[in-house]
Amino acid sequence: MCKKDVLQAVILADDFTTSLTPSQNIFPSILMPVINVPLFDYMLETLIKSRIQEVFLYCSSHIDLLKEYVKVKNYKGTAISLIISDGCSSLGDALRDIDTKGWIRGYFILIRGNTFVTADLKSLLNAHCLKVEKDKGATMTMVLRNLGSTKNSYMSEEASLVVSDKSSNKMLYYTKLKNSEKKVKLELNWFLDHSEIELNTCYLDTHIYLCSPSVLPLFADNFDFQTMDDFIRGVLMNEEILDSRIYWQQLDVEDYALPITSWKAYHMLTQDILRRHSFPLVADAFSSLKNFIYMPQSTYKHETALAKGCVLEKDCILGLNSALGNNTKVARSVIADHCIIGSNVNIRNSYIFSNVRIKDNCTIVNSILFPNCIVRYGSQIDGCILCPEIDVAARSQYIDIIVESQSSGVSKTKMLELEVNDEFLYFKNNKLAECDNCSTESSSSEEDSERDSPIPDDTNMFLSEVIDSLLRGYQDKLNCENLILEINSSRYAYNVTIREVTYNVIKAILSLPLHYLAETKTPVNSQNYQKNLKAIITYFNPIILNYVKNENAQDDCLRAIEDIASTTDELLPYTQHLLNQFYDRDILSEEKILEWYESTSEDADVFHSKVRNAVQPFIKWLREAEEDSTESDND
Amino acid sequence: MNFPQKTREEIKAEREAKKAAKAAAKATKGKNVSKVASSNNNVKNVSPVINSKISEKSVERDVSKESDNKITNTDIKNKPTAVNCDISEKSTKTDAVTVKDSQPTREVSKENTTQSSNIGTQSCTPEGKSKEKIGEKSKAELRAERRAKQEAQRAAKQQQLLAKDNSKTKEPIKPCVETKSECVVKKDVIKNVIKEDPHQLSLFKHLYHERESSRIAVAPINLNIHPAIIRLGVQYESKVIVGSNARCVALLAAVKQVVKDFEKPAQADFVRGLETSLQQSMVYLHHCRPLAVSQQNAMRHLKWQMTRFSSLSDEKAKNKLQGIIDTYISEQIQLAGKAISIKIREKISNGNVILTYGYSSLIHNILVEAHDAGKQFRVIVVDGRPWLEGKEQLRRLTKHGIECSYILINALSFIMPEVSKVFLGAHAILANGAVMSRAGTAQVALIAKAFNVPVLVVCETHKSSERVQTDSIVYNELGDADELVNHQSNDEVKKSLLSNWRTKKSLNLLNITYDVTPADLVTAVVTELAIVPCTSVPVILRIKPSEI
Amino acid sequence: MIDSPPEKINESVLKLINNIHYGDVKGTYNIVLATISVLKEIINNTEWNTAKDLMDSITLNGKYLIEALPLEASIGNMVRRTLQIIREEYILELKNKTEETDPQESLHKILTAENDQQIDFNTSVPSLKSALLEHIVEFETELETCLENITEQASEHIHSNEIIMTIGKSKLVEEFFKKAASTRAFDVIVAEGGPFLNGHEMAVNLAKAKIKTTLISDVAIFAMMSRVNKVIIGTHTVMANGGLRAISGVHTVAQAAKHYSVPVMVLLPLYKLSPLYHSSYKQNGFNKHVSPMQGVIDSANTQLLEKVHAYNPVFDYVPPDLVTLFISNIGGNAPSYIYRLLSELYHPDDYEL
Repeated sequence: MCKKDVLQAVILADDFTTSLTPSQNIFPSILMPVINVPLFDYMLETLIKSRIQEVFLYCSSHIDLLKEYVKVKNYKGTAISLIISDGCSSLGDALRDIDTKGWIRGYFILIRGNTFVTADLKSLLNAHCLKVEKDKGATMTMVLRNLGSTKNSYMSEEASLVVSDKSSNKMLYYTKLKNSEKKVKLELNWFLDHSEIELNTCYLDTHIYLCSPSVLPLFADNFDFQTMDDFIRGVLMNEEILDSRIYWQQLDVEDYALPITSWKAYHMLTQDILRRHSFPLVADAFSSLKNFIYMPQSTYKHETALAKGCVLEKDCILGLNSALGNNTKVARSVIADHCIIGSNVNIRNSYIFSNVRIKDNCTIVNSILFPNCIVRYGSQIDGCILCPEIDVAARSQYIDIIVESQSSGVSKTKMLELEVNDEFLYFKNNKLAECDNCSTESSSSEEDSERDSPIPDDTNMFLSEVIDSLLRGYQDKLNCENLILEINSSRYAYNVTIREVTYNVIKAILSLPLHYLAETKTPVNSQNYQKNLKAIITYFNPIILNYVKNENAQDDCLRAIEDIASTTDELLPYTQHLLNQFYDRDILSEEKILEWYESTSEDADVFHSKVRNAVQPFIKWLREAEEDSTESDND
Repeated sequence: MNFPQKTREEIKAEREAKKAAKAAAKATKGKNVSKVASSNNNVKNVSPVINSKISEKSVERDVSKESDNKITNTDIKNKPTAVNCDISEKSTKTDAVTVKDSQPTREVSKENTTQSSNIGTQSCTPEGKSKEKIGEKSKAELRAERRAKQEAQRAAKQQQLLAKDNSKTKEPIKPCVETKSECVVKKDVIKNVIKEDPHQLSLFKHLYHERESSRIAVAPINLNIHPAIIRLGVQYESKVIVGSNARCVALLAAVKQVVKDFEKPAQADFVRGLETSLQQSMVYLHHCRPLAVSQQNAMRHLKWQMTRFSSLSDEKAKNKLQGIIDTYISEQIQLAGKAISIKIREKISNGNVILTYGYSSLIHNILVEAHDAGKQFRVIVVDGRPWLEGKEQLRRLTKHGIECSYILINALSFIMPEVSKVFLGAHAILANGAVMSRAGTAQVALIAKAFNVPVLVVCETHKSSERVQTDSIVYNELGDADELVNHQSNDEVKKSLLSNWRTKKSLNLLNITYDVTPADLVTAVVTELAIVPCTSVPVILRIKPSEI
Repeated sequence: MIDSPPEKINESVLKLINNIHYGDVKGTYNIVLATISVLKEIINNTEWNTAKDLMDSITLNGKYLIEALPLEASIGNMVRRTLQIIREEYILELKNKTEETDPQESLHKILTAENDQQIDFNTSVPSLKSALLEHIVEFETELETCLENITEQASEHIHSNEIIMTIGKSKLVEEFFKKAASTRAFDVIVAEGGPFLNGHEMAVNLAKAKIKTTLISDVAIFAMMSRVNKVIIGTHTVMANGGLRAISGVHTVAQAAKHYSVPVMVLLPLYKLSPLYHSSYKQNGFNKHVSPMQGVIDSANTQLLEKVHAYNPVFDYVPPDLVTLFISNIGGNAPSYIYRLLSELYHPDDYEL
C-alpha cells in the first residue's frame, strides 16, 4: 500500500543533545565530520541507494551551513527539501512542526541526524508495511542492531534492554541500560499475555524509525512527548488507549548502523569504517573517500599525503595533502586534510581535523583537535578537546580539559567539572582500561597472591586459571560438566594434586563473587557478596559435588573456607550460613564439620579463631540437632 | 537465617530423611555394577548421557506411539546437545534469553541431567526423585519390568527390528537403555547404508566402508564398559572434546578411572582382565570417533607397561598403573609442550607477525607464554569452514591481550606477504616426515612456501606414528557432510540451496577432517627433543624408547 | 555519486557509472555490453569532425569511467578496443581513398611498414562514422558469440572419467562443463569459494545437469588435488603478463595444482584481457576489500570485533607461471603468448589512457 506513494524520509539535522560537547556549537550533528566527510554524505549515499525519492531535512541550528551544504551537493533522483525552524529544541517539537506542515503523506522513514547506516532503507520500510497489513495498529518499527555482548566494550553504555513478544517482535518494554541500574523490573503481565517473550540486552537503537502515518498525529496529540524515548514509553504504556503498537526489526547482519551518541560511539564508528565493517561506505569504495591507498592493518593514506619515515601502526587514515615528519607514530587516529605534523610526534586514539599544525616532539593521546588548531613544540595533550583555532603554546601540558576560544579569550574547562549532563561520555576512560588490559589481569592475580601468599607458583597459577574459567562459566552460563573438564585439564597443566585441586576450587568459588563484582563494577560489600555467593554456589553445585566427595576432600574444603573467611571480611559473617548450605547439600558431613571445629590446630592464630567464633552458632545448632537425632534414634 | 526459623519437627524430619538418604548412599556406593543388579542399581549403571534422554524419549513416545526410524534417529542427534552445550559457541553467545512459558519436558530433562551427573560421579545419594519412583512401584511392577528388560535383551540379540517393537511398549523406566541405544545406532547405520549410497564418493569408498564396519563391530550389549568411557565416547562423538592432546588426556583420565574401579574377574588374571576390558572400551571409543594417533600411542604405552608387572599384586598394579598414566600425561604432554614452548620462543623475535591455522592448544600456549615473556608480536589467525576452530583461538588470544587479525583460508595469499613465520599444530607426524593435521594445514604451508615464509610445525613426540602416507585420501576421517551446508542464518537463499542436497543424485558433499602436509612444505618440526627437519622424524622415532 | 562531474563528460557515461555503482548492472559481461553501447552512443550522438576529436572525447570519457570504477578493468578494455577500432577504420578509410591495400599482412610488410605514429588523424573523413558504427556492431556480435566460442572447445579439453576441480561460481565454466557433459562423463569437484560460498550454487547447478559433482570446503583443496586431473577456472581479469585477478582462493588452487603438476586452464573471453601490469600484491586499486561481516566474522560480537582486524578481500592475484593454458574465444594460448594477443587487440598508445 505504501509502494504507490513516493518514498519519503525525514531527517532531523540536529539530535538535540549535548553528549558530543562542544561539537554542537560548531556543526549540526548531521554535518559532523567522520573521517573528514560530513555524516550527511554517508547518509545521502544510503538514501540514493535505497531509492528514497523525497527527503525532508529539518534544520534547527547552523542553518546557513546546512543551506550551503545542500546547495553544493548534487544528488540524483532524490529531492531534498529543507524545513527551517530556528530554535526548535526537541525531537517532539520538530515532529509536531512537520505535522502541521502536512507534507508527509504516507509511510515514512524517520532518521535522527546523528546516525550512520548502510542498510537498504526501502526494504526495511517494506517490511514495516507488511507488519501493518497484519496489524493495523502498528505505528512504528524500530530498527535495532545486534551487538552481541557489550561487556567491556566501547558500546557498553549504548545497548538497551528490549522486551518483546517472540513471535511477532512486538515491543513490550524498551529502555536504555544505564550502568548504575543493576535491576530490571519485569511485569508479570508480559508473561501472562504472551506465550513466548524475548529479553535482550544486545540490541542497539540505530536511530532509524519506520513510521506509519499515525506517528505524527500521536506526537501532535501528546505534548509531553519530547524525545523518542518519551514516545516509545508513552505508546507502550497506553497501547490499548492509543491503539498503536511498536515493533522492532533486526538489522541484517551484513549491514552496519551506528548512531553517534557519544564520543565513544564516534570513536567506534571511525574505527569500524577504517576496518571496513561499514562497506560499501568505506574509503576507496565510497565516492567521497577516494584515492586512498589501503595498506595493511587498516591504515590508509591519501595519494597526495606525505608520510615518509613515519610509522602508521594501525587503524589510521591520512588525508589529502597532509604531511607527517620523520619518526612520527600514528595509531587508531584520523588525520584530516592539509594537516602538517612534525617529527617525533606520537598520535594515538586522536582525531585531528583539517588544517591543524602540530610541531615536533608533541604527544597527542585520546584527544580531538578541531580545525585550524596549532600545537607548538614539545606539547603534551592527553584526553583533551581543542575547539577550532586554538593555539597551544610550546611545551605545555594539557590533560583532560576542553579548550574553547571565546571573545574574552581562551577558556579551559576541566572534563570533571563539566556539568552538561550525565550523558556526556568521553571515550578516554575505556581506552585506558583497554590499554591496561593485561596489566589489570596481572594486578588481580597479584591481589590474589597477596591474599594467600604462601602457596607455590604453579598452584597459584592454577587457582587463577580456575577462577578465570569459573567466572567465564558463570557469566556465560556454561555447563558445569564442561567446566569440570576444563578445571581437570588445567590441573594437569599445572601438575596439581587432587587435594590441592579441591582446596583451590572451593577457594576459587568463594572468591568468585569478588571477581564477579569487580567485573560488573558493582561496589563490593558484604550484602552483594553474599547474594552473589549464594547464586554462585547454587550454580556450581555439580562442580562442588564433583570434587568434594570423600573425607579428605571435605577437609580440604573446610580448610579453604577457613582460609578465605579469615582473610575476606565479606565472607566472615556469612561463614556459618555457608557451612549450613554445604551441610544441607550433603557436601560436608556433620562429623567433619565438628571435627574441624574442634581441631584447634597448633598454629591457630587470631584469624582462624575468628572464623571459629563466627561459626559458633551453627556448630551449636548442629550439636543440638545431633543430640535430638540421637535421641530420636533411641526412640 | 535459614535454620532457626524452622520448627523442631521440621528439622527432625529433614534430618531423618537425610540420614536415611546417606545410609542408602553408603550402601549403594560399595556395590559393584553388574548385570543382575536391582533396578536402582541399573539406573546407575547406565551412562549418564543416555539416562538424561529417557524423559524426552518417553515423552515423545507418549505423543506418537510409533517410534519410527526418524524419531530415533533425531534422538541420537539430540543426545549431545541435550547434555553438552557446545563449547565453541560460547564466545558467540548473545545475552538473549528466551523465556518460554511452560515447558515441562525441558524441566524434567534438566532435572534428569543433574541427577545423572550425580550418578555419574557416584558420589552422592540417589536423589529423592528416583527413590520416589522406586517406592511407588509395586513389586509386581518391578517384576514386570525385569521381565521386560530380559525380553528386550533377548530381542536385541536376535533382531534389531524386534527391539524397535519392544521400545513401543510403555515402561515407566527404561530398564536397559543401553541396549536400546546400541540398537538405535545400528539401525541408524543400516539406514545410512541404504540411503547414502549414491552420495559416497568413489575415491573414499574405503573410508565409508571402514566406518560402517567399526560400528557393526561393537557388540550390542556392552554393560562391561565403564560409564566414564561411555561418557567420553559421547563427548568425542559430539565434538565436545577435540584436538589430539585433549582427546589423549581425556582418554587417559577415563582409563585411570576404569583402572581405579576395575574389579578382577573371578577366573582371569588381573592384567589380562584389564586388557580385555580396555580393549572393549577402545572398540567402543573407536566407534564413536576414530582414534587419534596420540590415543593409540598412549594405549600402546600402557599395554606395554602392563605386561611388565604381572608379578605385582592387584592393588599395587592398580596404583602403579595410575602412576604411569599420570607420568605419561605430565611427561609426554605437559612437559613436552613446555619444552617446545621454550624452544620455539627463541624463534619469535620482536615485531614478528605469526600466522597460525585453526586451533591448537599447543600453539595457543606457545603464543601466550611468548607474550607473557615480553615478546612483541602480532598474530594472524587463519580459519576454514566448516570447523571454524580459529574463532576459539582468536577469542582466547585477544582475551590475553595479544593483537590479532583474522581471515578465512581463501584470503591466505592476500595476507601472506606480511607474515614472518607460520606456526602450525599437528594431529600426528608420520614416519616419512609428512605431517597429518586439520584439513587446511597443508594449504597454509603450501602458500607460505610459495611466499618463502618459514613454516614451523609443533608436535610432541607422543604424536608420532609409524604409519607412512603420501596423500590425504588413503587414510582420513570423514566428517559430517551436513556441516558444509551453510548454517549462517543470514542468507536464506544460500541456505535453501543445499538444504536438501541429498535428494540430488549427482551431488556429493565431502567433509574430510585431516590432510597430509608433505615434508617438503615444512621448514622444520619442533619437538620437545629438538628442532629438526621433517625428514629426520624417523630418527626421533628411533631415539624414543620402543614402548611408545 | 555525489561529486559534481566535469562539464565535458557525456550524460550516458554518468548514468552508466551510477548503474554500475548501485548494482543495477552486474557481471563483467553485462558491464562490457553496457560500456560498448555507451561508447557507441558517443560516436553516434556527439558532434565531432575528425578522428582525433572523437578519440579525444572517448579517451576523456573513458578515463573518467575508469577512474570512477577502478576495479572493472573490462571497461578500460572496451575503451581501448573502441579506440583501436577507430584507428583501424580511419586508416582503412584513408587508404581506400588513396590506394588499394593488400589485405594479406605479410611479415615482410609488418617489418617494413611505416610507423603509425606518423599518421595524422586530423583529416576529416565523412564516411568514417558509418564505417565505425558498422564495425562496432560487428564487435558486439563478436562479444555475443564469444562465450559460445569458448564452450564449443569444451570437448577438446575434457576427456571421459576425468576429475576436474573448479572454485566458486562462474557462468562460463558452468556452461563449459555442461557442454562437455553432453558427450562424456566426468567428475567435477567444486571448492565452495571463500566466505561468499558461490560454489554451492555452482555445485547445485552442475548437479542439475547430471554432472557428478562433489562440493568440498576450501580447506580440502590441497588434499583433493592429488586426485584431480585438471583445474578449470574462470577469472575476473587477466593482466598483461598473463597473471590473473580472480576470486580469492584461486591462488591456493593454482599453487596446489602446481605442486601436483596438474594443468590449470583459465577460460578467458578476450574482453577480460587487460593491458595493465600488476606486480606487487599491495598495489592500490587491485583488490576489493568488502566488509568482513559478509561471511568472515560474526557481526554480533562487538567485544571481539573491537580488538581484531578481520579481512575479506574479494580477489587473488595469481602469477602467470601457475597458469598452463588460457582458453579464449579464438583458441588456446599459453600465458607467454598474452603479449601478442594484446598487441592485436589494442594499440600500444592506448595502454595508458
